[in-house]
Amino acid sequence: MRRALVHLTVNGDRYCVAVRSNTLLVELLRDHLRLTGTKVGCGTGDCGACTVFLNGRTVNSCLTLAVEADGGEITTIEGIASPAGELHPVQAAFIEHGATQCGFCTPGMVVSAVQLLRDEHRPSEECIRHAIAGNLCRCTGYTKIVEAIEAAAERSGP
Amino acid sequence: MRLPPFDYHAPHTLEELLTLLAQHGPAARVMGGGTDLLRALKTGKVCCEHLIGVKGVQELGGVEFDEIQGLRVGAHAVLADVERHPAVRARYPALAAALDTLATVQVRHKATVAGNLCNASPCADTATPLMAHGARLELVRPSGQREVRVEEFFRGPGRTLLEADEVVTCIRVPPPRARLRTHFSKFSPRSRVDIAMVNLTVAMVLDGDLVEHVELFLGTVAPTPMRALRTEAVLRGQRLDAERIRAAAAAAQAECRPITDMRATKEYKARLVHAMTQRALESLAVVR
Repeated sequence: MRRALVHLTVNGDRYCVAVRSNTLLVELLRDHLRLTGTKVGCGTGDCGACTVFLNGRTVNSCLTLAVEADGGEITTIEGIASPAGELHPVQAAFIEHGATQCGFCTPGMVVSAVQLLRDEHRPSEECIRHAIAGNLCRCTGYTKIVEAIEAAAERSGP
Repeated sequence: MRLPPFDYHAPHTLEELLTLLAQHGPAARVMGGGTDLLRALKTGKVCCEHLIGVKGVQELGGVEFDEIQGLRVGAHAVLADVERHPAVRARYPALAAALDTLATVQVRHKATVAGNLCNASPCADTATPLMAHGARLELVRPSGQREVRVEEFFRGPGRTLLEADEVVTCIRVPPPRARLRTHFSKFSPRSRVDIAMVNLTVAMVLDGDLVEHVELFLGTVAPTPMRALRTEAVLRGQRLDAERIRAAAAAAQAECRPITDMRATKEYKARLVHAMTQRALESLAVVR
């Protein structure tokens, strides 16, 4: 099987990584770069625990080849807070509203919520639920997650 | 879940893509967004030695519309870009509605309309609205180019008429005819994101309350998305009143050919076809 060199920027840092053709983006992030904030749940694109930004848009990193990210820019949960360590409004709201229980879905959920707030400044509850439909949570029942995203929208809105 | 071994190729031009396909033929698979294909490779449903990603082929990108040519959806245009295109929202609302219910945000950022068709699932949500708009696929192979209607493209569950050395370059949808109204609906447990139990699209032109033109396409209730010709015959040239709508709904229930599977029994799906056809026609009768 072929190997390829993948050049990519992750959370502002540039990397060049040798991967196999069948290496997944999530494997590159977790196993090669040790960025283990991104989780693997189902591995089939249903649960959203592996959600990251690729070139400004959320994707399931378990359904993305590492070679597809060549030349690309990636933001993982580790890059959502500011470089100085100040939490993103979504992260702060998740803490304040208790939107986390076991925490396994949280990185993907936060990334999806950040995507939503980039696209919509004042999303309705329906819009929020639609935006996180690709992120499954087995603990919270979603109510507190939706409340946290509503609060973050109010805080970061114009 | 890890992927089995394969070689990945990322051609930059259509010519390179066709050369690779000619070289590797049946041992190769063409990948658009990969949201179904990578999953099928992981679970062993599909095997291939060579995976050819088309995202780098510039000729196969883009979503464009003009009043003469209509809509052109490049083979690697992703669902989110097609859904958000102003012309799709304004001129092809049934397609926009289908895209809105299809998959998650993350998948819509990666999956392609061409891929949705090439998977040839009887449930493909983009199939019935594209068929109702008379869409065609442009196919290219080293020996030449051809255009086929979406209806002709499907050959059975998971099977299309694509040859081993052939690729989809784009989908062309003619401009909607004057006064055309369309209606897409989908029924599934989550109503969005998940796979349809039944989906359908009706395209209709009314002259007063007379049905001047009608096409009805049903998804998930036959080996391929199907045209409901007998139901159309019940409607064509007739007054779209409550009695006619009931007769058409009964005809659609009678002519669909669903199977019992993990989503529902065939009897339930046939009842859904009845109810959804009735509601679709009622909504088109009201908005004229």
